[in-house]
Formats: sequence, structure tokens, C-alpha cells
Amino acid sequence: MGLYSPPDKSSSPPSSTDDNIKNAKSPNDADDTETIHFYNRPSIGLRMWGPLVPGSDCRWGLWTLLTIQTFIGYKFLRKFIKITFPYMTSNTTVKRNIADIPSLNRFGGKVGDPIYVLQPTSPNAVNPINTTTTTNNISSATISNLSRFGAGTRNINRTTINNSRNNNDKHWFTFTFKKNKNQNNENNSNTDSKYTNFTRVFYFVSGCGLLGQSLLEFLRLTFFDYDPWYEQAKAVREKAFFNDIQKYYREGIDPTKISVKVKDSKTGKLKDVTSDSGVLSSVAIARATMKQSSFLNKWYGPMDYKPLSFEEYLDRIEHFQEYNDSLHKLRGVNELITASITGDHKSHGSNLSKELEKLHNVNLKARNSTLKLLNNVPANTLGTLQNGDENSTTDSSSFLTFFQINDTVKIIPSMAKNYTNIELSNTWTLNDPWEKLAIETELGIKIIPNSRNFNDYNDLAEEKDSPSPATTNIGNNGQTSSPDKTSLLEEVDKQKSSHNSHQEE
Amino acid sequence: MFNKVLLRSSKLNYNPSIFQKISAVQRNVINITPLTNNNNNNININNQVFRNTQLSTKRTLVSKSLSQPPKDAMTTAREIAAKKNKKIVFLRTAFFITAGLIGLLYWAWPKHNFPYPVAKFLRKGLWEERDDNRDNNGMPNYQAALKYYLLALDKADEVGMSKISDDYTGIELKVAEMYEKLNMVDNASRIYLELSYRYYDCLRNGTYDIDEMEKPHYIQKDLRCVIKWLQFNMSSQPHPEVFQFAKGLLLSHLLLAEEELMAKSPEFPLNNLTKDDLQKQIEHKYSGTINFENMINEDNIFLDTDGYIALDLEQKSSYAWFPFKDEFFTARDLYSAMCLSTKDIASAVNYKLTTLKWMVLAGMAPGQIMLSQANLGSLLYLRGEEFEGKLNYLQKHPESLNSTNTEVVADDLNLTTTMRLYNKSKDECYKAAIECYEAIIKFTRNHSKLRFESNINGLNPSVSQAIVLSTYGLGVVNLHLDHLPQAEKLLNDSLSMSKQIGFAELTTEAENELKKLQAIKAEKKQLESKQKMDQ
Repeated sequence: MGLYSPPDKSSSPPSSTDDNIKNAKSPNDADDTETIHFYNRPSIGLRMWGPLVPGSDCRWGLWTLLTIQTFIGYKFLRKFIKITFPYMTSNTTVKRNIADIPSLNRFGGKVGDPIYVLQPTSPNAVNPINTTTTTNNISSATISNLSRFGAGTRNINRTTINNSRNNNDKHWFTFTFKKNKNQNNENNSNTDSKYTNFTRVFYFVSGCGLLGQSLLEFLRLTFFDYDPWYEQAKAVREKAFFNDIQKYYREGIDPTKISVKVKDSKTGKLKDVTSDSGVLSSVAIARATMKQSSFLNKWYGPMDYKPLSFEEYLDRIEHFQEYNDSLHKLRGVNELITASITGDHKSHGSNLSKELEKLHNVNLKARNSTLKLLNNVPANTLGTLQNGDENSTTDSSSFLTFFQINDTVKIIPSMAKNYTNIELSNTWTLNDPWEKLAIETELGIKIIPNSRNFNDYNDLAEEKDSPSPATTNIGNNGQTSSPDKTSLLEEVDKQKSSHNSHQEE
Repeated sequence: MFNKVLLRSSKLNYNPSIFQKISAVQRNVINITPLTNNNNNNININNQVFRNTQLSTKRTLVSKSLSQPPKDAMTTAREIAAKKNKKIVFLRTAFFITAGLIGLLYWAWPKHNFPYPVAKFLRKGLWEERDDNRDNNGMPNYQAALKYYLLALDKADEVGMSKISDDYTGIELKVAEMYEKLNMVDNASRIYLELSYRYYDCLRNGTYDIDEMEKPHYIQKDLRCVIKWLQFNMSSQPHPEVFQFAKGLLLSHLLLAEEELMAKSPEFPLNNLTKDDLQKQIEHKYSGTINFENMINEDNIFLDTDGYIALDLEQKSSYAWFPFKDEFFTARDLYSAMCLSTKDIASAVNYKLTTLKWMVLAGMAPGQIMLSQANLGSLLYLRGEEFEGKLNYLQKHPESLNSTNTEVVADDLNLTTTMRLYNKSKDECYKAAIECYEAIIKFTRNHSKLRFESNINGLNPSVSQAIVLSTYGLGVVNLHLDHLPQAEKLLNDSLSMSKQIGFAELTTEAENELKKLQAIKAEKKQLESKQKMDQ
């Protein structure tokens, strides 16, 4: 987590008070005055990656990092095993210079050194005293080996026999390995074993640590029902998108660089609409989308938010668990509320699945009968809604309507000659029915009161019911509505009230 | 020869261990030459091979030239092996990189989740529905499209697509859309109803296996379906039973969303009501006071460091709301509207009060919170009018007082206490309404950038709408309270502003109110002149 301050600023030392904060680069904007607080993205098992950890809603990023970490951990552990139990792991031989094998080397120093060997007088009389070696650098080890000549011979025999008998190099080489350590490098053996021990411990600890951490993170990603960090990251991403749109909208378009012109259908003249709010907002949305789809943003999410602390994370999970335990009690109350408000109507409860099935069957029947009907009816005979209202709104002076989602289906690629050419994934996304429904159900509800003369009350109060009328103004924020859909939900008593209801944009 | 043998063997077999063996043996031979003659026949066949060589170098010096060849041979062999190893490593790396790239490409490539036969029908359907359908005189052929979508749905059933997946429900929505286009509204609305039932069943009883983290996503879809269904069925005057059903439907689905919020947001006020509390609340709708609390202030409305509209990234209470907050508040507003339509203003006000508080919790955009508060002001004004009406009625018909038609909770119900309570409540309502409106106007006045933004009428129309509505509402209240000069000024202001931002409905209303105001003024003048005349 970091506070990234630009380098040219008066040298303020990295705030050591909060160790979550450290220095980082500021964005290279024209004005570098603002600093961006970058907090490490939270994680349970990937913390060692520090600022590399992706945002919690970047699932693919988390999995990638998790895989890498697991792989490294596995490698470490393997290395540890390789060092400790070499014969268990290697299917290739441990390569060792033959000169290092003591039992075979009692006459020679390093490879390549000239060795003088005296021919013994009798082949059977093996006397080490008679054997003199003169070389430039005869090691002490060689001399000590000489004194143990007999043992050396046995060694030769044993190794070769082992070698030829079971064709198993491993044993042989373990043997030489140990010999080498004990005898050849007596001076270095202490430090060497210390080093080996250190690496061994290091590989073991870090390998186990990494794998354990990976396991924790794996559990978080797969087995946790509820992940507050994920929820937060997702929400924050959406919020940042909104904020970006606002920001870019305010920035607007530099008219010296870009100008947007539209041909007026009536006059045929080019109209400059660069400063039109519709153009501005669509440019802002496009820029924000661009920013959203950048790799950095996809990986981290918005830069400058502070993730929930680990304690908060746990608190939320605890709350969630507690709540779920007491859910049944709460549901009882909730049902009571519903029942009390709606009178006789039973909210979906016990017989929900039956109702659902009934409904499904009715719909299925409708589907089948409609299919039959469609097969028998010529094209364009079934009634279609009049879209007159829509046309009138698209003619409005604001350019905004042009950029709103249209009611018609757009095909990708637009050059498609046949239905087989359609790129279904793109076309479906462009005409996503759920998005369309979202726009249709985005209602702007405004309640506009009207004043009344005091005399009115006399008439109104004649009624026994509550005398006040309803005044609601429910409009559809989308452009696709037709009048009867968006008209009032209420029965507004128009004669008695002076309130009006409207449909509005 | 020595060299050659070694080299040959190295070519035949690259296993480096063999070299080591060979070289080891060979060195034994060299070093222990005197011994091998008789004793070491068992060493190796190679010994025999090399013996001649050794014999020739009998006696003394094993020179560099002799000890060199084995080393060279070994290094060559090692080099070859290393080369081989390098090749393998290279190939392996290349393989992994290619596999990774292919995987990435596959992952990033746009793809759909429809099985092939379903996809085929969907393509056909979309093709018929395209905006310039040349096979159908340049008009979309909804009939044909509906046919294909229905077939696609049948196929999807056959293939066994998950009925809760967005893909399957997407096809259903397409079918509903086509029904709607072809004026088969009943069919369409039933599809939405079924969808909402299915989601409810799934979320409530866990009929389908969904991820806990995916729940908000489905709640969002559920609420959309419910709202759409209401749009279909509440448009004309609905049958009272349908109306009650709609209310129940809306409420139960809203409660489902609230359950989700209670679980995931510790900041959300937990519903700790017992049954008794609830019963009391239901019996005694009205206790005499309005718990209005102004929400439009610096604590609740977040503006960025420059004073512009922004959402607070770190508002902890808002995270759980995010996926479905828009749908949720639309549905809640609809519920208020439904209450209003049955002239149950008390419920509408209470519901709206909670809505407003929750909107702040949910971190809604400032404009929407403002608009919500402006609406609350209007509701409060209506509530005040209601009390005033009742008061007037009671004054005229004192005999009508009985426990059934009053909302007042009092131990001894008598005319004076009731009237006093009504009067008090009326005043409170008007006061709260004025506070509601004034807070919005004051806040926007204090934050000039917010006001500036509201003027450009681009992304945040609700800010300007809230301001205009508040100005207008304040005008209406003042008119009602007989403060004519203020009322006139405010109404004129709202009229010009609403014209500026294209808030057509309010323009007409403001004009009407101004006419009324003029009428009252004229009346007053007449009265004054009459009085003067009388004097």
C-alpha cells in the first residue's frame, strides 16, 4: 500500500508512521500536484506479492498469481528434497568429477596433473612404502589414502561390483558423495555442511510456506460463501466508473482538437454538436469504458481506494454467519409483515413451487399455441404497437436520444448477408435483453403536489375514506416506453383532485 | 584408439553416467597398471581393450597427452548432452508458452454459452428482428423472430440449459419482448411473473445451485422482472384483488433483497421486531409525530475534493447494495406510489422516510437522494393537507368522531384532543415539508459547483429536477399557507427553471399554480376594495 508522491516535491520522507503507505510513482499528468494513495490489494494467501496482488474481483488474476505461487512453492520443496534425499529424486546421475572420489584417487591429484607411478617389483607384493609418488601438488588426502591402500582396494571392488550387479548408479554415487565429503574436503566440510543445512532449511520453510499460503488462498477462492473483499472491489469498480464519467464529462471535449458535426436532416446543413450534452456524455462514457478495459484497471480495479482491513473482513463474515443462523426467525417476521400489509394474499411461501409449476405450464401452453398460430398466420398480420411516441422523442432537440439504446436489433457484423454470418456473442451482447429490460424498468418517480383552496376540503371530507388524492409522476428514463406502459400505476381520482399525472422522460 | 572408442560410445549413448563409468574404469586401469596384470581381471572388459595401450605406456609417466583425451571426450560428450538438454528445455518452454497463449486467446475470445442448436435459432431470430429487414420491407419481422425464439427456447429445454442462467432467461425475455411487440400482453406479463417466481424460489429455497456471491445479481434480475410485471398490470385501473396481489408480490421480493442486505451489510439496521411490536405497529399506524430527518447535508452528500458530484469509494455501508440498488429503490418508490394511489398517504410517507435513509446508506448518487427528499417533501405536504381536511371535516361534523375512522391513538378519544392532535400533526407536516425543500435549495446554493452541474443538464438531470421540484413545492406550500408574495416569487422561479431544463410537466403545473395565485390575489383585491367600499 503506498502513498505515491512525485519526486520533484519537497523531499518528504516516506511516511513511516503507517507502514501500509509507501512511495510510488504519481501519474504523469500535466499537473502532478495530486498524490494517489495506492493500497495493496487484500488477500489471504498472496500477501507476499505486495503491490502485485490483483483486485479481489479480478478472479483470473488471483488464479494466475495463485498458480505461480504454488509452482514456486512446489519447486522449492522439490529442491529441498533433492538436496536432502538426492537418490530418491534424481533419475539422472549426480555428476561428480571422478577425481573427487577418494578411493579411486589415491595416486592422483587433479585431473590433468602428471602422475608418476613406480612399477612395483612384484605384482603380489603390494607395499605402500615402495610406492612413491612425486607430483607437483600431492594433497594430504592422497597421502592419507596411500596409508589406507587396502581399504581403497576393497572400495574399488565394492563399487564396481555394485555397479555391475544391479546396474543401479544411485547407490554408488551416494557412496562416493559421502566419502567425498568426509575425506576430501575436511577443511571445508564444516562451512559446507552449514551452507547445505541453511539452504535445506530455507527451501523447506519457504516451500512449505508458499504452498500453505496457496492453500489458504485456494480455500478463500473456492470454499468461502461470502467474500467481502470481492463485494467491495466490485462495488468500487462500478463507483469509479460513475466517477470517471462525471470527470470526463466535466472535462468535455477540446473544441480545437475535435469537433462533431451532424447533418441536419431538414436543412441539410452541417451542425456543430461538439458541445451538445449528448455528445459530451457519450464521449465521457466511451473514455470511462476505455479506462475500465485497460489491463491495469482490470487487474487492480480503481487505484485509489482503501480496501477493508482484515479485521473488517472477518467481522463481515462473522456477521454474515450470525445472520444466516437466525434467518428463520427473521423470515417469520417478514412474512407476517407481508401478510399484514397485503391482507389475505399469502406471500410466496409453502406453495410457491406449486404456483411456479402452474405458471410454467400455462406459459408452456401459451408457447405451443403461439407457435401453432405463427405457423398458420401470414407475416405482419398480428398487431404491433404503435411507436409514435418514440418517434416524437427522437425528434427532440437534444442530441441525447441519438445515443440511447435503440429499440431495434443491430447485427454484428453489419455486413452480414445471411443469418449464418452473425457473430452471436457480440450481437447478443449488443442487444442484451437484460440491458434492455434495465432501461425499461428505470423509472424516475416524481411527486408533484398542487395547492388547493381550503373550500375543497369540505367536499373531500364528505368521503369517509382518507381524503387526500394521490399525485405521482412516474416516468420512464429510457426512451423506449410506449404511453400505456408507463402511465400511472395508481387510480388517480381526477375529478376530485386537482392533481395531474404525467408521463415524462 | 582410446579416443575413438570413447567417442564412438559417446555417440551411441549419450547417457553421461556411462562416460563417467567408462572414464572411471579407464583411469583405474591407468593408475593401477601394475596390479591389473594378474589380480584385476574382473574389473571390466574395457580393461582388456585398453590393456594394450597401457602396455605401451608401461613404466612411469602418464603424460598430459595421455590423460587429456578422456577429459576432452568427456567434455565433448557433456557438451552434446548439454546441447541436447538445452534443446529439450527450449522445446518445453516453447510448448508451454504456446499453450499459454492459446489458452489466453481462447479465454479472451468472445464466445457465447449457447449450445449449437439453440444458437442456430437465435441467429435466425436476431436476423429476422434486425432493424432493416429487407425480406420484410425494411421492417423488423417480429412474428418470424418470435417463432425462432420460441423454437430456441424449446431446444434449450431439450438440451437442458440451466433455467436460472442469464442465457436461458435472456431467450425468455426475448420471447416476452416479441409478445409485447405483437400485442400479446398477457403472455408477456406472465413470462415476467414466472421469471420473478423462479428467481424467488431459487433465492429463497435454493432450488438451483447458485453461488452466494452471485445472489445480488439474481436479486437484481428478479426486481427488474417484478417492476416490469407491475408496469404491465398497474397501467389501467386494476382489480382490487390484482392490486393486493401486486402489493404482496412487490413487498415479498423487496424483503428478499432486504434479507440479503441484512446479511451482508452490518451497517444495515437489523430488523429486530418481535411479533408483538409488529402487531402494535400495524394497529397503530399513526402515533402523532413525524420522524423526519433532513438528509441533504455535508455528512450525507458526498462531493469530491473539488466539490463536484462523485460517489464515495470508501463508504463501507454501500458495498452490499451495489449490484441491485437502482432496481431496489425504483421498486420501493413504486410501493410508495401504490400506497399513494390507495390514498394511504401515511404508509407512503413512512415508507419514503425509510427509503430516504437507506438511499444514503446505499451511497446513491447525490441527485437521486435529493430528488427522493423532494418527493418526500411533496408527500409530507400531502399528508399535512390530509390532516387539514380531516380537521375541517371534524369541525363541521363533530358527530362523526369515532374510533374507526381516526388514526389517532389516544386513551380517551374526545373531540378536543383529536382536533388538537390533528392540528399539531398538520403543522408538523407542513414544517417538515418546508424543511425538506429548503434543505435542498440551501445545499445547492452552498455548493455552487453542484448547481453549475445541474445547469448543464447532462448526466445528472435529477439534481436540477430536485432543485426545481423543491422550489415549486416550496411555492405551493407558501401559497397554501397564504404567503402570497413568497409563493409568487418561488413559483415564477420554478417556472423559468423548469423551462430551462425541459421539465415539461412541472412547467404546466407551475403555470396552473400561478393562475390560481393570481385568482386568489384578485379575490383578495376584490375583498379589500369591498371592505374599503363598505368603510
